Amino acid sequence: MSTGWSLRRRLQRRVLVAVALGWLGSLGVGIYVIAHEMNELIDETMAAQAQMMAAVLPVGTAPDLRAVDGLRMRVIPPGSAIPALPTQALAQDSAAPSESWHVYRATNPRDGSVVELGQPTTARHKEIREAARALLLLMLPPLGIIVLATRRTVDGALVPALRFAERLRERRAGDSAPVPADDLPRELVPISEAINGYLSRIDALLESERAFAANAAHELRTPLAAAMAQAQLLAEGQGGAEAAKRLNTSLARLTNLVERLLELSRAEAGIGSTSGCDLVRIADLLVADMGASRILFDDSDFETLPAGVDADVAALILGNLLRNALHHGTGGVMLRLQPGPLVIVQNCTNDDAAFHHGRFEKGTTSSGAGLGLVIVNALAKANGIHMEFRMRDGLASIQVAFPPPTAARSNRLAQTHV
Amino acid sequence: MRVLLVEDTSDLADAVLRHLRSQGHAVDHADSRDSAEAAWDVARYDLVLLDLGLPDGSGLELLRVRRAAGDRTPVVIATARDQISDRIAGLDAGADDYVVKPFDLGELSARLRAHARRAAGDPSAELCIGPYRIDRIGARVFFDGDEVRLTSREWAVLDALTASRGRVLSRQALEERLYAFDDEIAGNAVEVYVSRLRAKLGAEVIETRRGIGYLVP
Repeated sequence: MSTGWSLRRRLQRRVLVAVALGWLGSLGVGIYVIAHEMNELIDETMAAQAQMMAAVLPVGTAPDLRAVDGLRMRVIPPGSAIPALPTQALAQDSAAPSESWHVYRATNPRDGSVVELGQPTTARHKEIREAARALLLLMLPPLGIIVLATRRTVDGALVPALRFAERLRERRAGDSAPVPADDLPRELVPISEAINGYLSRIDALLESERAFAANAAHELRTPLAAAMAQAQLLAEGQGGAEAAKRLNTSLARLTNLVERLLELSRAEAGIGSTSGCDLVRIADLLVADMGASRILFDDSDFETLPAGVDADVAALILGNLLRNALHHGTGGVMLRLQPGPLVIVQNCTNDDAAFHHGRFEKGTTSSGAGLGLVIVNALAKANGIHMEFRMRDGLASIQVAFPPPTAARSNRLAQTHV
Repeated sequence: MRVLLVEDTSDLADAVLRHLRSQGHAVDHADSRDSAEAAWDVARYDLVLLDLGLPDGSGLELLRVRRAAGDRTPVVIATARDQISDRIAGLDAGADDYVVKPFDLGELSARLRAHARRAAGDPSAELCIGPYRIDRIGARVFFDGDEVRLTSREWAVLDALTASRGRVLSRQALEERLYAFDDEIAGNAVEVYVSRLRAKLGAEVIETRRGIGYLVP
């Protein structure tokens, strides 16, 4: 069960709050307008009523104070005492609204008696409150409808997404085919596209691993078969010295292949990225290991040439390049160091020579593993090393641009080699 | 029998070559598709042992081409491709058998013999000629329970004749089954081996059809 926030609840809450606030705002404005209009209407009605009452009042009417339709009416004959009201009697015909009362005065033209109609302001406020309450009650049914509509809309919109999740959940571990997402709403399509893109990348990776495993098995079985067959001949007493020699050759090929596979495994797993190295020292060691007589090493008079990669990474790259050059070249190999730091490996080749970058790709006459450049490229990619391969006029040239060392690494190396 | 070995890994080819030759088979070796096609075109092989990953093409494609052209030579694929799908593809292309590297040389040669026997129309493992019991799997001959020792060449001649029992095999046909391209053939080699066999098994085992060839009745 998910413990995250609920899209449905959040949407419901926000829609409800937004609608309620909007409604209340509209209601406030509405009540203000209604109150204004009601005041005007009641004032006009009171004025008309006062004039009408004054017109119909019989001559000689005694002072009076009575209630008429929720209003208070005061009749003041000329020269008589003024009946008590919370308001002062007005001096002339007019409307006199105040905070607590609205009063209207009209004079009977026949005898000069005065009629005043008054209404407490609280009575008007009560009317307005009732109107506002009615409007508020009217808002509740639409809010309920909105809650239901939101819930149903969100639930309906989420059905395809839940179906998509169910399809994904029911998949077998190795199934990386795209998940159908035709019925997803447009807003959720980026998620399905991202998931299907990810599955596609996983599929490509798995396919690559499967191909690699099949190719590795294939490449390992052949020298193994040769070694076993030669050993069997020796065991049967048929082989002699030649079989022993060939057995040795087969085992050497097998060893080379296993070493390259291990190097590739290390390269792809990601090795050393924490320390720098000295390319002069690494090149010295490699040249000594691989036979100095066939490698012309030009260190450009560098005492040290720091690079910002791990020593194992540099050694694997340069080792594979030198091994390839020695194995596939037609003569000696030039290994040159240059500022940058750059390392250049050059050798002469046959006219039909070519660089083979794919796994287990190799020339028709090659007895190599077909992994050297794969290892080099994997390490270069993982360690920010730029490689340039050139094959022109029978000369193969590879330039390796190592990243420069960081200041700390550079100082440490300088201290080490001074 | 005469075998065409198509294998580009020289160490492996050398071992298989030595082993098969030690059993008296005439073996030609081709290390590419082109050379395999050239050899297949000019010689009649009892069996072809075919690698799939050749430097200049696919062994599977070569097999398809030969089968499409009507060639019925038994073909055993010997390859490092060990997936079931690879095997199915090989057998569907017309291979008679599929051997995955690494393999045992003894098992390999037993399979080759079995396919050669089947192709010759008699897959039985044993047969009797007069008082002799011939073990075609073990490449041995017994007389009254005792083994009669034969050299690999003598066995090869006897095997070729018994495989075509009742039919005359010419001297040239026997030579083709005994010698590969690079073998030196003595002019009377077949007569010599037939003579030795008669000395060991009795004159009545192999009959001579003068001017035509030999047969095991």
